[in-house]
Amino acid sequence: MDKHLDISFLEEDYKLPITEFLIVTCKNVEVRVEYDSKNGLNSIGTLHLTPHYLVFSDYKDHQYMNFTIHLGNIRKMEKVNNSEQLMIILTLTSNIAKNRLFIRFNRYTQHGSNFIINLKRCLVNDINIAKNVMPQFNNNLMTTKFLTKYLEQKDRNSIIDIDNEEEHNYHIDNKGLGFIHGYPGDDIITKQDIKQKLWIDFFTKNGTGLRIIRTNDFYKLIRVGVCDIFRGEIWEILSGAMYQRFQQPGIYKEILQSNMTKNSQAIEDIEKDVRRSLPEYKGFIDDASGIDSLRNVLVAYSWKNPEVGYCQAMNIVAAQLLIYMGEEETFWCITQLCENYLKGYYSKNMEGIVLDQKILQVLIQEKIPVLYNHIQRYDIQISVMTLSWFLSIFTTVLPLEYSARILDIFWVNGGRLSLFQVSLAILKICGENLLICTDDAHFVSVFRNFFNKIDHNTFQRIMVTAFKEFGVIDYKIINSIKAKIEKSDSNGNW
Amino acid sequence: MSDTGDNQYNYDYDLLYKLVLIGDSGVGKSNLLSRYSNNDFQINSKSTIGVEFATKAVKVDGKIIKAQIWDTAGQERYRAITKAYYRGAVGALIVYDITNTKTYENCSDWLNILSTNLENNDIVIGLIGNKKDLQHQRSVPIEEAQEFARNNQLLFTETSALSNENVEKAFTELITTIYENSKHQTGMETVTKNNSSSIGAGNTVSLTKSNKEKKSSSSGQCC
Repeated sequence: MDKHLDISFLEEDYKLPITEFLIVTCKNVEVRVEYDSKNGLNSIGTLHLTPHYLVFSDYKDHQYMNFTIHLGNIRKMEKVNNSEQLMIILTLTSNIAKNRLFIRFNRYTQHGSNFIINLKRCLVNDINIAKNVMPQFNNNLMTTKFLTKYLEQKDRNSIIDIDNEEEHNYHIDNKGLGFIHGYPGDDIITKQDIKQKLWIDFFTKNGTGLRIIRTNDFYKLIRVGVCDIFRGEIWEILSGAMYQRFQQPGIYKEILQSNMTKNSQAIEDIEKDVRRSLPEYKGFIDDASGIDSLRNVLVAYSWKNPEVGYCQAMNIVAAQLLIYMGEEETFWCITQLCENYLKGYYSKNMEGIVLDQKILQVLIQEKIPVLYNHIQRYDIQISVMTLSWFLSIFTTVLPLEYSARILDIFWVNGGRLSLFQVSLAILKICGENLLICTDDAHFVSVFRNFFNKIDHNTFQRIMVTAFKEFGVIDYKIINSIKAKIEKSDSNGNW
Repeated sequence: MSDTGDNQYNYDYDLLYKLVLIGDSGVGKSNLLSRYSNNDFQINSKSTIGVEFATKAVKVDGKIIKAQIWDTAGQERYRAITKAYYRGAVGALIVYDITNTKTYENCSDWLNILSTNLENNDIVIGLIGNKKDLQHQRSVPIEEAQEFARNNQLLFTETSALSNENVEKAFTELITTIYENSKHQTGMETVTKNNSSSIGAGNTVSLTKSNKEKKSSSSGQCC
């Protein structure tokens, strides 16, 4: 059990709060997710148990089937123990999907029965959460509210209910500015209606929130762009922000209230920027409600983490998130961004982003040597140009509908990796034009032109280049470059 | 001195000056730049992350000078990263907000950063008190700033990017001073030396090359 020793993977790979720790792990476990009496999905992988979560990841590619289910969503556990097999059947809460999980352990070792004993103990500990906390949490999820109404209407044989306008608009409080001001991009071009149907199908099969089963289909739907209305919740799940929000209910409001009368450098800096974040979006113009939400989120985070406080670019990312999710959800996503995904990017000396710009240089050298030689020859300071791409996750340069697509992938790929891949793709696509530039200003102009004229086809090209051609780049490669740079830095050679 | 018209297409210049705009976040650097280069002011502009630049061509003493003005993020933690952009600069404008004392007090920091990051001691520096239209909220007395400028041999102007007051004047003064200084010296060689590429400043920029680049990078939306 090698992973017993190092539990950082729970935070890094599964985005669980640091308070979760590994209780027991079981390898070579067969899991079947049952959709109905006839249909289901089978997989083999590793099962982990933490105080509040049951975590599974398949051996195929981790994206064939995985889940991080809060134990409060397990309603029933049945044990089957006979000469043929050792199996448990877990019945999950059924607010939208009705699932049972069949988990079969190796009969011939102690690991299975040990796992079951521990799981049972944890389930008992979480019984209060299961009874009193989880139902309310589930009911407040965007997907639950939307789908409940959607399914109700479908049951009524699609009789158009003219008297009930509210219901047709699926009016839900505080679920992102997009609900009020609309989502960036053209609904027809981005095929929102088709995507919505596909996601509804997915949720009704695999559930949502803290009990969602992530299958191959889930990742396929993400790659083509998450449907706008569900995007916030998907981001919250992928980023782990939802685990944080669930674990620390009310903290966000508490932080805001208890610091209401205080002032700080961060607050001054935030005030300068709240109106200069996403002026191209209706919800952030003048005194639109988005401005207050943005201020709240940034101020709250600056108190939560005074080490980081506030860094320009956080405003732009937070504004982007607020289009798709509420304040509290955004607060936790920003937390995950600063403390997990992009650690050190927004800190006072910005060491994370400085290092990653050096890594990007090495990647350019390895992957696009012609461009690298050109940059060297003319002494171009490319890192200050790509800086804003990384810090804003492309929100400062790409139209919002496209930067949202990048965020879809960003949360899945563990973040930084996708920033490198997309940056290389842009550099490669702009390559021909860049090779005739002999100074910084020309470089900046080429990028500006490129971003100003970007359309659906060009964006598709970026995505394909980033994740097909540069898809070979992984964290192993990034980390080995990082190690070399750090070694060379400590020798004073960089 | 006059604007030479559509500077977007104008690559036929005699001198290229690299200028930098620095100062705290929110003092109006980006709006000064857009006012000067495009006669544009945006109430709802975006905070600058990293660097931006714009150009403007002006005529001084019968010579066409292309000013390439770089605008950088103002927040303190960005200083270490964006200072890479000071190299090769022949002029700088340190901007503060006349309604915000802190942004004025930080000007001496900015001055220090400039002098420690530039090999070129001949750089001409101007101090700009922006947001002159907000007289009723003024917290930095003009006399105090004037004295600071005098003591540090800086040019000084109060401007309003919003009402377009003195913006042209501030840039023009900077550019002419650079030009005059260079005439008194041996030419622009001191500046060119600091920069291995054709960027920065100097009278050695290859015009034909620039034109060719312009065409192939297409669309004319260059600067």
